[in-house]
Amino acid sequence: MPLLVVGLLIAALTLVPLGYVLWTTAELGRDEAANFLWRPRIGELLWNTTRLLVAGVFTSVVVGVAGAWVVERTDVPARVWWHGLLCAPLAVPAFVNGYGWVSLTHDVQSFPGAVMVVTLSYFPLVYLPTVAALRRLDPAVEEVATALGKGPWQVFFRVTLPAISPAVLGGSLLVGLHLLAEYGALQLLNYPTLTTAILQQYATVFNGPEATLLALVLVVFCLLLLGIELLLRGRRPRARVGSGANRAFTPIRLGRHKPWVVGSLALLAVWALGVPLGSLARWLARGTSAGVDMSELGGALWSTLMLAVLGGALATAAAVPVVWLAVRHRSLLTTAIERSVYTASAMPGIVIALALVTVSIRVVPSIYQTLGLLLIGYLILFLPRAVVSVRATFELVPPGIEEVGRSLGCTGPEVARRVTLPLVVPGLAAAAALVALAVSTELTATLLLAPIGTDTLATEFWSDASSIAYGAAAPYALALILLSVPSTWLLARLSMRSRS
Amino acid sequence: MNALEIRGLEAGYGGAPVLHGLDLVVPSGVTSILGSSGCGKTTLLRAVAGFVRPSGGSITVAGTEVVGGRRSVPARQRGLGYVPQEGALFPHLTVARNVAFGLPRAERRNAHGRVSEALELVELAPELAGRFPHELSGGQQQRVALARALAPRPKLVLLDEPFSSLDASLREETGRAVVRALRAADAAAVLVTHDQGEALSLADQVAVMVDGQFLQVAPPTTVYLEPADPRVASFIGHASLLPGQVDASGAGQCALGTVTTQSPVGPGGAAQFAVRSEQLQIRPADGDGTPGEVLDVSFFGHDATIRVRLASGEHVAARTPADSVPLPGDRVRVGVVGHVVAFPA
Repeated sequence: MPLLVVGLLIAALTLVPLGYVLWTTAELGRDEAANFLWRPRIGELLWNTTRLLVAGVFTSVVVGVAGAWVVERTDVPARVWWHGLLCAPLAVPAFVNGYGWVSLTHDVQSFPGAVMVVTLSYFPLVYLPTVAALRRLDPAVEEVATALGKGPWQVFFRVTLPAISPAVLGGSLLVGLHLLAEYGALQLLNYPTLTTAILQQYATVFNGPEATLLALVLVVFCLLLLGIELLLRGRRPRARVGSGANRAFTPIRLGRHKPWVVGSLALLAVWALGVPLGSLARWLARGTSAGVDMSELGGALWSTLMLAVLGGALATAAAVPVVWLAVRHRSLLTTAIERSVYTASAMPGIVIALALVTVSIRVVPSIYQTLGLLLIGYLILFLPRAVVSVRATFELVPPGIEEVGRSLGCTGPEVARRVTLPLVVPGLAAAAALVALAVSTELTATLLLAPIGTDTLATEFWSDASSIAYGAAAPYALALILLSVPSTWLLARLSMRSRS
Repeated sequence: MNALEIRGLEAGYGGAPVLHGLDLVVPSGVTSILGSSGCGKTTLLRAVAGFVRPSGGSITVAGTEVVGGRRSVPARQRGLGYVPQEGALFPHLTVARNVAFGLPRAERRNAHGRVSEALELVELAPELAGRFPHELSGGQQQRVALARALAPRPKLVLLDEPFSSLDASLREETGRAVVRALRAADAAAVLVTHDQGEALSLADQVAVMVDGQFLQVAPPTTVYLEPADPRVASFIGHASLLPGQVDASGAGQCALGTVTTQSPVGPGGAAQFAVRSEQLQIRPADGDGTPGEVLDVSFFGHDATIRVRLASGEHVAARTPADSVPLPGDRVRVGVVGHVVAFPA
């Protein structure tokens, strides 16, 4: 069956980065590797990466969970607005946020500064799933605990937190993977980690074994994170018991705590949004007086839009057969195909890019430095995202409806064309749009894979911002934020809708 | 000492009040609050539990005032058992740890005895203690929820539609087990329900609520046989309400002819008669009684409900044994058995 062949091809493609990492590891001499890794510089990178990971994930969890609890469970005024403000930092790419802070004060070029900036950028990744989990959690469970004589803290730690912990853990994992993959913001903050070191190695000696080895260490980090998350999640049941509608519940009264709670939320919003947007506005005002190179901006905008549309369409098109196989032709093989796609979500963009550069040079040199290779990079990088949203769409189509189509005389492809596709096209469009928006703000992989002469908004921003041309970078930063607004808005809406 | 005393309770959510000056005394045993959805019965329960802050009135639990004036004891200090709809078991804890949840820390360490005692009270096998909530059936979950509420030995347990998510067959059995457990634990209970069968069969006292007010608070038989309000009669007994007069001799005159009344309505006044469905007999067209035409028939097996249009145009509902069910369109006669309740019109 041709569909299975397509699925296998896609799976093979997405396994290239993992294969590359394993293969180069096997290829390297053990002594060579040990010599390279056993150096103070590597120790420093590991220490930097580890402490940023631990501190960044911890503060993101504290801020995200506290924010979600206040918005969802208390009588804080204007809840919907706070929800919007707590999601909004997702619309500011981390490297734009880093630019906003570093162009304001150089004090953030330190470990606490790095922790603060990545927290401000990534806490919504914890906040969003936590809010959704709190909405799904039956408040009666918390009320029973209160009736049994527990105070608010005890109720939170003994009942609420265990119940929402899968969502919090999932969010922490996302923050962790983002932190490991983050390049732009940390480079601007002058905080060296494994990822920034890989790019530096790549820039100085192009494609030496050092970059590969660092990539290997980075992948090990990612796998460790996944393992820890699996371990913590365990097999304990946390599904809600019973099925009926959630009952009305009374929000917790903040009372005399209201002023400082509202004050903290406001401070968080100013820190995470006000500072980057404010310094952006400042540089825009200054930059425009110096004149903006409109043709350069237009060129970058054009190539960004083209890449975004192509990348979105490609990833969604590749996701359809994968999901179709996994949902409608369930077997060990099709499940394995779907899972293999997800391996890429543990691979930082830098590793995927490095893998594609190496493999293309060694195996098919003709595609090195082409748009095709860049698009393949985007495909591998964003296919997990596309598969998740395409899958959600397909699962809404009851299988019975296809059987009805067959009973009315349709062949398999005919059912797909006349029944299933019309039902899923809106979902597919949404998936393509989400990937397109992600492509349009991608920096790390684009820096490595874009052919010479192809400049996107992100790379143009980067070449200005990293050479401290803050004013020149401002228009690109603004464009990047505008491009991120729609998907952020969609995510904020989805998480608020989950109370059924 | 009464387990619960409510005086002049008013409560609502922000805007218009939902409860308008309620009075209720629960001495001991089970009191059920019966009302259709939206009448305010859950708000009342939540006000007693401490999740809704009343705007007026007082609530006294086992002699301790928990709401009065501007004072309101927080929910966690009221020491009440609370069983919400569907039980709301903690999904991440085993049955044993669910039941032990409300015990003081010192007792929780060694709660085995208390847990098995509570499980025995609700007639659950001790082997279930190690299970997780999702491994239990709906009825078992409901019993664990009650065991959890009873474990700290509360004087009063609040149950919010606890059986509405269960199958009809399971509902009755679980209901009786719950009441047995409450009596064995010597705890009074307030049971909120919209199911009149549940309210009448399980409770010692029924409080019928409409639009945030009690229409009648009385033992089940009184509520059923001597309704204090036409709305109680039509809600509880599925009674047909017919307008008419009480004549000088005290007999009632209505579309069903002359009926004997049991009522506070004096002779010579206009009245409304409530005829319960089992008081109406369907007789053949050549028998005696008021003539009418069968509109429709709902056959339940043990009996059937027949809706009849009387010659005067009024509709009445009669309950007949399963072996004498007419067909829609049949001409029948309708007779009345026993005393009819009359209300002043």
